[in-house]
Amino acid sequence: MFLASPRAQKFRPRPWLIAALLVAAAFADSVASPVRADEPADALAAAAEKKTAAELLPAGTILYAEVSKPGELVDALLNHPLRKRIEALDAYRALVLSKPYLKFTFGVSVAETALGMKWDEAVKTLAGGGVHLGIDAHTQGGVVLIRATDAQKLAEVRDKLLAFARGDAKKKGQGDPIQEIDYRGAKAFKLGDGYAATLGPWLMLTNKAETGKLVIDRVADPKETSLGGKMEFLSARNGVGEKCAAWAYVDVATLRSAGLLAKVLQDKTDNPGAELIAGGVLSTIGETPYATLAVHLDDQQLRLVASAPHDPRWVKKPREFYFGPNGKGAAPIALHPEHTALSLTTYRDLGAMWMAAPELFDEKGNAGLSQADSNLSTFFSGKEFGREILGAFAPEWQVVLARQGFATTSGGVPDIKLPAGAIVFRMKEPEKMQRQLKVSFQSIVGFLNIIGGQNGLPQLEQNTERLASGTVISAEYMLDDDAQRNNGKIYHNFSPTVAVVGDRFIIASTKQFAATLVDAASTPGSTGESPSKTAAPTNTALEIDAAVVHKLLDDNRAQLVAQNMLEKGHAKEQAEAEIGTALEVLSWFDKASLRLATPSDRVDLELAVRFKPAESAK
Amino acid sequence: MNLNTVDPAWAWSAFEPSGESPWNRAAAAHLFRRVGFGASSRELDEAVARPPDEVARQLVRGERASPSVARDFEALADTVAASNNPEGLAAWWLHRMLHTTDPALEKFTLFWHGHFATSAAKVREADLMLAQNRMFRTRACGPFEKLVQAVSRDPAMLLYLDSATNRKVRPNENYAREVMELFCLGLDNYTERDIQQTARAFTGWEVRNGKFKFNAFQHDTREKTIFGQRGNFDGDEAVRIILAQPAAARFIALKLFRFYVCDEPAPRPELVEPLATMLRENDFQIGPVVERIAGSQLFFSRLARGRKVRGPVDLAMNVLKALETTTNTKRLFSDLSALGQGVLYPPNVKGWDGGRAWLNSSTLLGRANLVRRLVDDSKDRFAGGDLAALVEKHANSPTQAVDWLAELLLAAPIGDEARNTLAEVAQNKDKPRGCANLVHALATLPEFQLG
Amino acid sequence: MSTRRDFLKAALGSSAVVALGAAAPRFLVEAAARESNAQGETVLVVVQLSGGNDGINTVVPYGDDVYYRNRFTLALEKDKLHKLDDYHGLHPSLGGFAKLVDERRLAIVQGVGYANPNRSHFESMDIWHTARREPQGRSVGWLGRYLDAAAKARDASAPASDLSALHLGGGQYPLALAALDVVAPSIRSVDQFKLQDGGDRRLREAIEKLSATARPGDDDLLSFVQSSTAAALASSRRLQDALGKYSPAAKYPGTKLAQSLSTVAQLIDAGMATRIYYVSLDGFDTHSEQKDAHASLLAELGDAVKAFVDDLAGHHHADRVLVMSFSEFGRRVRENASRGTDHGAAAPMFLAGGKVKPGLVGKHPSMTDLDDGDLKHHTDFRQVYAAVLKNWLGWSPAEILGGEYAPADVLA
Repeated sequence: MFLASPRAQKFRPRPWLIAALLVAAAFADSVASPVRADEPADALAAAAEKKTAAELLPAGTILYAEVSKPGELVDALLNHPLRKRIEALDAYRALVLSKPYLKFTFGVSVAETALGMKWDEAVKTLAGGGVHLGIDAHTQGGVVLIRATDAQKLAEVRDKLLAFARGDAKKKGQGDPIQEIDYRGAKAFKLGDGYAATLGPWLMLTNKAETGKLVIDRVADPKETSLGGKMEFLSARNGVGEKCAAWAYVDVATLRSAGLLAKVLQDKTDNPGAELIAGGVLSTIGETPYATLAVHLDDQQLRLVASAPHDPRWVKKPREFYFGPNGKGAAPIALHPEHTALSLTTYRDLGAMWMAAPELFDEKGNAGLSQADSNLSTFFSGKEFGREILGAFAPEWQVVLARQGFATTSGGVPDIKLPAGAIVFRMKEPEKMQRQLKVSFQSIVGFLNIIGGQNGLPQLEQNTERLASGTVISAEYMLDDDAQRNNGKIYHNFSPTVAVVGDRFIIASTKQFAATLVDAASTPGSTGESPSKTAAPTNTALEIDAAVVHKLLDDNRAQLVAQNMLEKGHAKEQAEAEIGTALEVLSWFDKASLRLATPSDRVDLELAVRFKPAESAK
Repeated sequence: MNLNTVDPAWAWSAFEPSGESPWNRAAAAHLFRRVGFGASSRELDEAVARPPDEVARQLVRGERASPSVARDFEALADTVAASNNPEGLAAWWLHRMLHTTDPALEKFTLFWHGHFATSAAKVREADLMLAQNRMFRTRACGPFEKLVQAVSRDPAMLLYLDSATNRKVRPNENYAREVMELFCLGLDNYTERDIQQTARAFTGWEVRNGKFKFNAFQHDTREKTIFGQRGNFDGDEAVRIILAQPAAARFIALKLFRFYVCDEPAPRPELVEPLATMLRENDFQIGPVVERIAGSQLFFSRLARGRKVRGPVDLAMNVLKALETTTNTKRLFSDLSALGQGVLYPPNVKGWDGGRAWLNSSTLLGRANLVRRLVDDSKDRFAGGDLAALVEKHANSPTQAVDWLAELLLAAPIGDEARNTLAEVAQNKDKPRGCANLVHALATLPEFQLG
Repeated sequence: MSTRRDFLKAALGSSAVVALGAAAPRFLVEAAARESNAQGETVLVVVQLSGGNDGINTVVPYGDDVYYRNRFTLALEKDKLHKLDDYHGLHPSLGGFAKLVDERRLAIVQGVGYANPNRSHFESMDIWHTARREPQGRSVGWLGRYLDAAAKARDASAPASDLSALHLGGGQYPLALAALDVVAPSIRSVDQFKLQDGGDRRLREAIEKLSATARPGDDDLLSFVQSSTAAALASSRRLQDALGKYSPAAKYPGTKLAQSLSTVAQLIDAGMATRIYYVSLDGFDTHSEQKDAHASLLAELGDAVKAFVDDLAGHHHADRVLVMSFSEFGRRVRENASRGTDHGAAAPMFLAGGKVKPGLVGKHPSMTDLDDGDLKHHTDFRQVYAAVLKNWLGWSPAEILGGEYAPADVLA
């Protein structure tokens, strides 16, 4: 009917709710149905009781994921310090009052009434033994295995729900919605497109009958091979350890042989950027048997660790730029000046990568590079950019971004306040390289002046300053009297500068920042060698300071509000509220880091997000 | 009655509602569309409750405009211009057109932007485009002479026409030519000699660092002869002499006629003459002429209603205003550009031709696709909610929905067969889809292209 | 010649058709579309090579020692060239062009330029775009002038129909297409020619029905919009049908130029009335380390044009489509110190299609009789334009080019 009256909209159970009820109905079957009396079923239940989820899954399982203690996870989430802060948000209060949310909570309470317990209690009782997911390559089906702690409770719940589901169907004049299937002494139920079965304390849900049968096979016949019996899986589980909220295992070897990774494992890529960021890891994926992902959550931080066995010999010569010779390359110690928003330290031999381009990239990738090469050598007096320029730097380098203050600068203040940025290299032969790099900087500044002049930008003036610890060659915009028109222009963010301190070569977006880095580089402690080259060299480390990012965004709040107004059509107040909420959420976080490390036989990629304790948060 | 036979005295006399031409929602919608960018259902109800001359006057004069809203728009413009992206500034202008409390002023500004066409594609500086846009807005309704004199100093315009330097020894005739041909007189109303002499009057008018500068060393101080008048004229005086030509008032009156009354056919000279006379006798004040047009018998007659091919901006704004939509104006800008009317980016110094030139097989489909996108965009809000809820508030049946929307969006009436077809489109089990399809189907109607 | 536009006008404007009911006009429109496919007008596809293509390393005078003396690092090995005769050879990457020469579908017009060459990219490109040597009057392009003139000659009351010219592939809008009255849009994808009906057939039919009905005859403007809308919807349907079914008769490389040209081929095959398509390939400003970069650009050009012409031939359009490539200037005879070349003057143009005068047209300019280190032109580019205007687009060149230029002998 067109334009039905809103009154006509009564509560109707959502499909997911019906599904949940039906699933719960299936639970109790092993306890209450006549099947229970069945001898083979009892034996089956006893056998299943002794198995772990991995032992129930076939050996061809390509993806396995587990939340071993759902109750604890629920508690951790419910009692998490962030929860209070989320609830304090205006946006959250608005959500709680919104129609969809009210419908949702109503749905939950209906389900709770039907189950006879609160939802968190239900999770602990019905899934206290863990929730597990497996995807089988052979049958291309997925299985969820849930282990209950209180089978008795399950039985009661099941009876209620089964009755509810059948009663509901009857009321609508439909037949029995549940179809029963027997297989090797186990009883399974077909509900819509899904199947469910109970095996001792286990509830099994699957979308494919064939996959479900594989699980029952493993209970019925101890000789069947299982995921739990695979060496790779056992060592994966050992590697992950006990203390994580959830973890997952991926059978990379099988994915690879199925050709599913062909796209990322192409011999040559057309994307130098992707190669630079992920090249070495792709070598790992090309050879490693499996990978794991572990999730750790506590009041202080959320940590995700992806890990895979790794052997430096898997990395072919052209890719040596990535992990270094024998995989021993390590990121340098970071310079960490005040107000650092982002710091990236890495081992990446750019010169080696540039020179290996013909082996690394396809025609298109190489065409791009050779064009860049030809443009760049103009600035480097005809020197070969890859070998003679990039190759002159050590492979350990750092990129750093920091919030800059504008009050002290004599020039204008930009309306859009960008962070200052720098890249810090070490020169292999400082004496020889310094002069070349200085001259190149001069040519680039000259070039910028020509281009800028054509576009009405002020000219850059070069200055060389010798500080106690190093030399700073800066290019600053010459501002004329017409300051009024020029104030606010974006170029006030920049005064391109290079600096030499010891064997370090710094390219910075502002003179001020270069000087700060020169100071930082000459303070004791920052000049040491790369950290431990022994145990677990960190190949790449990215650190973000949320508090500084917060300030950076806050500096540009007016811009963000304007963007929001134009892109979402919001009124000013609405846009301000939205940006305010986003910044508020950001203020809950302290630091985030991403770390790529290569312990002797693994590659680890760790993402950690630290929460700010409530009292210090704004 | 047609444009060739209509009596000028009747045409410009004050609108008197009659049985044939009543003051109703459709008439009010026409007024808001032409003088502004369309209106919501509520605004139409409010308008028909008052006499038409009062509604037209208040609209043209911006008597109901809120100064604080205008100040907020200005502050927002400064912020947006800071990123020096003229497209962002264009999005800001569309945002302003949509949410302004003075729609007639934005319409005037759009008119002058098309008349003194300057493209950011060449100027490239957002702050110069903004300064020009503000200048048009400030001078929109006032004496035309002041406007032309301001345009002659406008850095964006001078950069656009390559007149940033104009030297004594080699006067640049480009600007002088456009002043005559496109801005003030029209073809065949001047000689090449007038152009050369006027160019000399503008020598020394330069742009330095984004600002207008008079360079006395480069100004030609010798005597010039412009339209028979002799003297040591500068640019301002040249403009005054040009505007004193009889063709000037006719040229501007005709342009206003085409913008506010109808695209075609070309009106007889005597029909436009009363407007030209009004300009001449009134210090070339623009506002009063538009006020007269918008309150006239001709304006509300069938010779004017639905007699213009709507430009993409008019068309999109009408939909957005009528359906009280909030939307992403950056995206809107890029869609309008594809349809041929990227504001701040006119195609050439002539501005947008308008009329039938708006339409071709790509833009006709593009117009419907734009409307489809607006009603499908999950982020768009209609009166703060979804489209179906808004339609439901005003219509109890598919047929009512068709009539309600047709009144808001169409200037020309549609036949019963089309009404029935549209009602069938609206009839859909999926209510939001039915509404979206209905608006989309309306947007494909030939009548939808007319305003 | 009865064009599709005339036919539409006759079909849609007639009240007899209206009397037949809503279904009739679409049937007629489709019939008109078929007719347009059968006897389509000629089409010009301009491929602009931006940056100044090194003509000497494109059509290589390998029979001249002067070449090897001046191109000490950039000279191409004799054995790898696609030899045209015992003096000229095409760059090794131009295998596509070499095949087109064999198939008699490529004309290589040598020594094209203009007097007192300007070596600024912008100036020279403007000169090529506007066909005007002096800066005055450069606001309108040569193709734009043609479009304006052709539009004026058309019946003004005919429905607005398919676009007369299109720019594809993004990038800067070519001044060549800038016109005073006609807007030749820049399109990002063919989606701009499709009605986004979300695959809803009921809606689509309703929409077609809504504009199929002729409006009252006394409202000329509304009648115009109605017939234009019906034509646009028919064109959209035709294109959607055609694109769904289109199977290229050649394998296009994955390059951007090839993708643009493959779109052009689809539009041509769908029976669009567009007569001019404009695409660009950037990156020819090879001042240093030219060898690899130039080779890959030429490969992109040659392979894309070859695939395009093959595709057109496979769909029987090769004889009505002419591809014309040009660059704003060639490069100096002598290479520079950074293994590149600097801005020069005369260079070859390429014309491809079923109706070109195949092979080399004109002599290679002398490698020794130079103008300040640059090759001298013997054919003015406006002579090539004149040939295209007169013999391909059917328009008098003089009014477009602002002077009399003897058409170059490039078309069969």
